[in-house]
Amino acid sequence: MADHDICLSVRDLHVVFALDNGLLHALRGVSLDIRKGECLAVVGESGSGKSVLCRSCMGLLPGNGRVVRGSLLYGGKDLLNSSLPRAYRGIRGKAMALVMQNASSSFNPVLTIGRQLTEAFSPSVPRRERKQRALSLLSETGLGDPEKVFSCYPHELSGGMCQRALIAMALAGNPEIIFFDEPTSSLDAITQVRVLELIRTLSRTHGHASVLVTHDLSAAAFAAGRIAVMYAGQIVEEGLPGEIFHDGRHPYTRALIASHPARMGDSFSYLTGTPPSCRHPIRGDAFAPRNPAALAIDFLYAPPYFPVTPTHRAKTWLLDPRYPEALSRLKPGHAARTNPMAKSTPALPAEPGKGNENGSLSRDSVLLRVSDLHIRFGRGERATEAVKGVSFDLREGECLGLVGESGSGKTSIANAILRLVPAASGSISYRGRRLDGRLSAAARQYFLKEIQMVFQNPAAAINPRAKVMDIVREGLDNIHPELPRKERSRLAIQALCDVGLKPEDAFRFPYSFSGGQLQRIGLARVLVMSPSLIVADEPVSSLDMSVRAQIMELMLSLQEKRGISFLLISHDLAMMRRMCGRIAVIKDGQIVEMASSALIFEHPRHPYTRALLAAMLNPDLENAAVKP
Amino acid sequence: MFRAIAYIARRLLRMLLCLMLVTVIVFCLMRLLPIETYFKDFDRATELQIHNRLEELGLNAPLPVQLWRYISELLHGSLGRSDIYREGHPVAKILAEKIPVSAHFGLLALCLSLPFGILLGVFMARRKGGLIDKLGTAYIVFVQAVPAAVYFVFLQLCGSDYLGLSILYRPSVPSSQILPIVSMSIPPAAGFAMWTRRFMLDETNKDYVLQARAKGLSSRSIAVRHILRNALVPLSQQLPGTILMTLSGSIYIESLYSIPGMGGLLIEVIRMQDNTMVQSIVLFYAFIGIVGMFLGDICLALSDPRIRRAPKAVDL
Amino acid sequence: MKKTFGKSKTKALIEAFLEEEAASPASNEEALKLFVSGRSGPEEELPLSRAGDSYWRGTLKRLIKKPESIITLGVLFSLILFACLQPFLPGQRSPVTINNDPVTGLQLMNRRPDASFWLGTNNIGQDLWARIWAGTRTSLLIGLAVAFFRNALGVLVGFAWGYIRRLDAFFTELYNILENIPSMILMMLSTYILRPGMASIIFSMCLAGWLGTARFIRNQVILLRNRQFNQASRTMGTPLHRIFLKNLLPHTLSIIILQFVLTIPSAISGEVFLTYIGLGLPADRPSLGNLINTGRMLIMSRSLRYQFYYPCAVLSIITVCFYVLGNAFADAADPQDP
Repeated sequence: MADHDICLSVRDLHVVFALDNGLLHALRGVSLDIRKGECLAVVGESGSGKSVLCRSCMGLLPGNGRVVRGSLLYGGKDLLNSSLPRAYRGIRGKAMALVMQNASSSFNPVLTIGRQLTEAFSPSVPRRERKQRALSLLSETGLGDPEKVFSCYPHELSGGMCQRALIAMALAGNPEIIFFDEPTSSLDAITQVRVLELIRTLSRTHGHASVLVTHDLSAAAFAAGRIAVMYAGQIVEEGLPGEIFHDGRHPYTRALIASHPARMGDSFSYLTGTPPSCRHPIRGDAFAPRNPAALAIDFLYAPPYFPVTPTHRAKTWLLDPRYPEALSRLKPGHAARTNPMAKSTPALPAEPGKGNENGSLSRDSVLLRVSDLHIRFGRGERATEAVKGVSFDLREGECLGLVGESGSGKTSIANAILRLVPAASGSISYRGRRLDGRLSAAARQYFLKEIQMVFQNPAAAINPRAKVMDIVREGLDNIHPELPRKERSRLAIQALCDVGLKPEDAFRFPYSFSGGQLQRIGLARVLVMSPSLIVADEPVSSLDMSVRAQIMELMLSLQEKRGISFLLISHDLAMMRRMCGRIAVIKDGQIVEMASSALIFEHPRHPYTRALLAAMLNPDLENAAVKP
Repeated sequence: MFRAIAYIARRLLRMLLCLMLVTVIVFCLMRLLPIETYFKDFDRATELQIHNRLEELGLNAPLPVQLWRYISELLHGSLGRSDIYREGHPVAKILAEKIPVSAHFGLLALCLSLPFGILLGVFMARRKGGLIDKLGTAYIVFVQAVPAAVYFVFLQLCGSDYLGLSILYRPSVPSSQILPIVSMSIPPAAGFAMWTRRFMLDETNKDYVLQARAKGLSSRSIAVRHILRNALVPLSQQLPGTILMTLSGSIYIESLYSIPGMGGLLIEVIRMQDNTMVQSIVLFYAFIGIVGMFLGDICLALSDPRIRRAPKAVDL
Repeated sequence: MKKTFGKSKTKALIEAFLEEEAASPASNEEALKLFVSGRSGPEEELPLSRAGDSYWRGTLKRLIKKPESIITLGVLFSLILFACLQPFLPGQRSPVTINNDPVTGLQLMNRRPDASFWLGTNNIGQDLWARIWAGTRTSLLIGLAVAFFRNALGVLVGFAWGYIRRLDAFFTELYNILENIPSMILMMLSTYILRPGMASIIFSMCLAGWLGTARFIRNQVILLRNRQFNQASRTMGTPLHRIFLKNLLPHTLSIIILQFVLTIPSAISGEVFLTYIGLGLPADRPSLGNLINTGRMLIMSRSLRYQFYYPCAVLSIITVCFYVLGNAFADAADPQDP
């Protein structure tokens, strides 16, 4: 690749943050070239430093962050050497622009969109022309009525519209590079695809380079021409989408791709453990502790980059030319496993979600019946109907999926089943007993033991000021106060072990756990009550890719071993396919289609289901090849 | 537009209701006072004298009748007559004399405290943890923690001892206004500085400021066009009330410097036990408080598009 | 933050960060030996990212890390202790006895501080030292009583207002009306009507502030009520009293303590204000408010200003200490970088 193609070159960038209780090494030597007009995706989990990379390129690190080593070469000059903040002013907006994640909060709430858009033009653009140009940019980003949007305030636009306006604002300075920091993660699936398409199209028409920072492999595959994978503040692998998805060399890349629900075959591969903390110096390859096939050298020394092809390189000792030699020196049989894939569980039944077909439970008995459920919020004229006549049955031991976008009413249904919100009309019955409306104390106690819920965001759903023991024991204290306290504590610890945590974790506080571990705690506190039905509301959507699969696997094994039925609520079709036997698709408070998971995926009937399926991105070469 | 008018109408209605209620409450509370407080020398008064006096004050009638009389007088612009302070004088006339004096000092002090406080706050926020920030914080802590009675007196002493300024206000000596005005502006300036600093720091961490920096705007135009524009929103809610409150005068300052304004009057009538005057002044204070809040809410609605364009958002 | 980067310890840590990255095998031979599966050394326990402190222990640690909180705590503790013990110490005079000259039998008026009257006497010959400590006790009593009653009422109403949806509309309307009346006016009017006295002063100051506290607590409770962990507790059938104890109280206790600590100096200042406008305690009940007020009357005469300075100094120390302590606690209880 010729040098004149490169518009920004990041060299050995180290960024450190000063926190109250120590330092955080957020970027640990990142080197990356951004070429003119390309679309580069930076993929990584939360905390991998991908956003920090964007911010440091733009010179927008927060006050407690600092570049301690490295250089940023732009147009032959090192941006980090120009110590004056003014030097960056000519760069920001004009040479590089940023599109942030939360579009609606990225606009000043008290100024109109138009005013904020026009101030992004460079001073050379005459004032009279600015409005005209702004309007054309707005229509170019697919906003139907640019005049109206121009005079709107940010709170009057939807999230997707704000995101488009934000992209228009980034284009205003006619930059060479646009950084998109998680541009789609707060949007609905269908809007997500449209915004990604927009990013792709604009890149072509305007000729700027796009850097797409995302945690979502599918989004990267969909939009990017080149992908860089980040882990613990380093780029571990870099290459064309095909090379990354089909010929990944770094064990982390391979494990990450394998844990994508769409990629999961019959055998469930997933990563164990959690990403390392960058608060302490990391010795060797940061991924080694999670890699069961790690080499001894991985624990001692950080690997350099080894090229695979001119466009593909990876930071792993597996590519060291000495590695095969070392292997041949060893006795056969003692050789390291060449497949660095993480732990594999024995194959699960081919039809997930119908695990206990041969179990003692009769398959046909209906556990939960929801009929013609209506839920309303507010009173009088302002009342909105969130759920408009939903009916479905959930059978004993099955896992039923409710799929829909935000605002479709799926969470309201869950809340009604848990009796958190009242039903306006219709009925919900559990094993033939009505559970909505007024109940006797005994009935409430009965449903309490039978139905429990797992929440979306474990960090929010767990009381941060209580010990894990108290959190897990809480439900048990409520339903079995007659048991001695010691026995309840024993059961709580047992539940912690069942979900893969250690007994001593019971005496720690929630903040010392990662998101995945917290969700395990969330499952443990439900399991300890031994319910027959668990309602799980987006149980993994707030978790990182590599952790999602762990939790899904845990839930599947619970369903199989204990015969617990699940009502799974999610917007994520790929996950549904993996987990559920049957799927109901919800739109605007109504079920538009309900069928077995295979049928939905192969013969979707309703146009909305088809649109959802079309919006489902697959990290596949086929899909990636469609791009320009 | 219709929504905005509906909002203002609703808010106006609430204000009127509030004024009514406060009047009734204050009037009824004042009736709880024992009757001897209406007499200069109750012990020596004869039965007949007492009866006549009460009759004269209208206190013998049943409470609802008294209230009705009072309110209808209020609506005609009369606040009753002073009992003791200046016996028989209409209260409204006395207040009309005093209010301009208080407003004069209050507005001048506001002209001093508002720019000073906001500038101090801006500088403190710009260099968080710097010298100005530390000094400013010490100033704010001092003003908020130490009772005003203490440092006002110290200022008065220092001003007269070291600067040779008059220790009391004399209308004929313009320089005698300096000390009262400076003293009066000290507490609100601390309030403005604290508020501005906190606001600036909070806003600086918001996404839209980062986005504005990413657009390539200079930090000054971000401060002026974005942060200060946002700061105007809550400020516009406070300002009408603050301006109106200058009418009520500063109780401490006016009595310390013998300024013939509302604040000094209040202390005098409390000491003299002039119930009608106390009642009128308290009502006056409550009225300007209520009207100030009403105007503040209107200004807020006008300056914040989130409320102007969607009055529903003004849900308490 | 800049400071943090300057420390040598920090520099060393940054060096360590950079070094680990640069390390590479010394020789080819060494590297070849290491290309084997598995760890070479013993299993290292990954250091926990943070120690397992509870929230309260963390708050306490952060609080005592600050010099200002140690100093103010020390000063307040010794002042309060001394104010309580002072009457029982030997050689103390009564704060209300009028001292006469044993020789002439005249009142010892306005005596400058000397060996027998440490802080002098006032205009009717009472010992200022004793009066100041008696006044401190009175003012502290007022401060504590107001802080207790006002916040107790405010917290109870705030919890009910926030958690019980049916009460919300009623209290919100009440608040909308009452918030319009300046609290100073309310305090004044109420003291005026009830006639000045210890109880009426405390009552008036509680009356003037409880609604603000309740509103503040209510907003916190509503936020907590809607937090997901509280919803989770409800789905697990946790009874109301345990929700209060485990979910609401731990998250509001810090602001309740803060309100309590900050109410004390404001109540002490409130007493000074009421005394100033002529609604204070009678002169035979010394308080810092009426000591300052008496002192203020005498400032025109330079030689008598000590009668104003001494109570002012004690008062200012107390209020500033409480205020600084409250803010230090608020900072410690709400860490920016959790």
